[in-house]
Amino acid sequence: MIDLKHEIKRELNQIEPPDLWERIQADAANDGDASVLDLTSSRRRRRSLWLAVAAVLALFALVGALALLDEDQTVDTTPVTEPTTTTAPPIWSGPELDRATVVHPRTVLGADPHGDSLGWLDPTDAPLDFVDVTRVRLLEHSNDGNWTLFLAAAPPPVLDMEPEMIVAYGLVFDTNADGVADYVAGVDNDAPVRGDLRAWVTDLATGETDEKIGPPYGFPIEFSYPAETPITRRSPPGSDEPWAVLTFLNGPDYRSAPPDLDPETVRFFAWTAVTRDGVLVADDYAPDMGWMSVE
Amino acid sequence: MMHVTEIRGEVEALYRSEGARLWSAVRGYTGDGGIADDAVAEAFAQLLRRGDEVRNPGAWVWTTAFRAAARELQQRRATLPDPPDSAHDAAMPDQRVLSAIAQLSDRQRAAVVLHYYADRPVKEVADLLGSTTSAVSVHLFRARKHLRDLLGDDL
Repeated sequence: MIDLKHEIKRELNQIEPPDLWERIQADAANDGDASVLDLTSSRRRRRSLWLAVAAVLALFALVGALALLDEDQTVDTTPVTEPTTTTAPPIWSGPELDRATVVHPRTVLGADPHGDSLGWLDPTDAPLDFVDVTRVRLLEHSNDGNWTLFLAAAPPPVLDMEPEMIVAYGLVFDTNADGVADYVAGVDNDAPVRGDLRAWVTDLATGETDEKIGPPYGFPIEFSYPAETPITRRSPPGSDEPWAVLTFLNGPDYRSAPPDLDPETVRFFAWTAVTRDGVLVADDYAPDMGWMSVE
Repeated sequence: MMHVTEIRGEVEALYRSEGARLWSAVRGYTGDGGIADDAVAEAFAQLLRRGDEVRNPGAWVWTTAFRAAARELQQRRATLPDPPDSAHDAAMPDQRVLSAIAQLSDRQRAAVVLHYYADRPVKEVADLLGSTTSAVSVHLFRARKHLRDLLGDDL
């Protein structure tokens, strides 16, 4: 029987560490400020970076909108084809929340090259490709929680969507593994200014919703919206799969996730929906039954 | 404000007491003695430059060294898209457990090394990694399970 602690110490202590003191003094004497890892301000810089990115996004969105106003309206405004149905579509009041308590077995797609993500397959089952979630990926060892919803197709650019059409991508969370949803998060184009987006998180216990409409984004949830225009990447690097990304920001002086939502232990499922004038056109859930969990 | 020589003396004393253990821990985390050299040197050099700005130098050098090592690992992965299966340098023949640890995820490896090698309680590991105690507990649980799979029932 191996004593893990004893064996790790024995094996690590087999190699004599070098004496680095001379080098440390030399490094300290050099002006190394440019390469210094400043822990006390790195998070602040990261936040500033987010704000800068958001500002650039806003600028590009504004420029793009102005450019479109100046152009002939030659964009394809063909309405989205509705699925054939013999019954009246329901008025949409939000994603379905009730789930069986049984945890959905995960389908591990194999570790990514860095071994830090898990995936779940969801067979094609939505009538519209751009709300059809084909798989969900959780970046496992991110403190933030980072979920990617891969889609069968990209939606039309948000500026080209019919004004009455709302396209939403989101997640439902069960934070205490009791099978009851605790939070719903989503990102959609339900914003007064065309081209703006709305990111929101609802606490189902209190009914309170934190939301951010229009840039700068980041709180309460950061995202990549697949219909975002004009500059956001709509597919991961090296892939032609459209995606939506939702992630909570995290740092020593800020954290956007609800306090009881631990990405390492939370149960969750993904949802998508398209509504027109509040009427549900198409939706998808991944998985269709139960919760996903890394446990 | 402390005098420069006073600071140097305190930092050297800290290095003499903690440096070797820190180096071994970082090497266990990265599997690379070169990264351990750079990360530990950077942490202590920063401490020398900062002097008495750092309130808890003992904890600070550990956090800084592990962050620097994590950054270096990420940079290497970005430039080396197909790293070998095991990142560990193959200097020692009798490193069965370390070879298994090399197959854990970064977070699991960091948690294992800090907890089992450096004898840090879970709470301190969480503080050092900027994580939560529950998350570190999950990392350790999964790491042990993975190591058991790799090393058999001996563990």
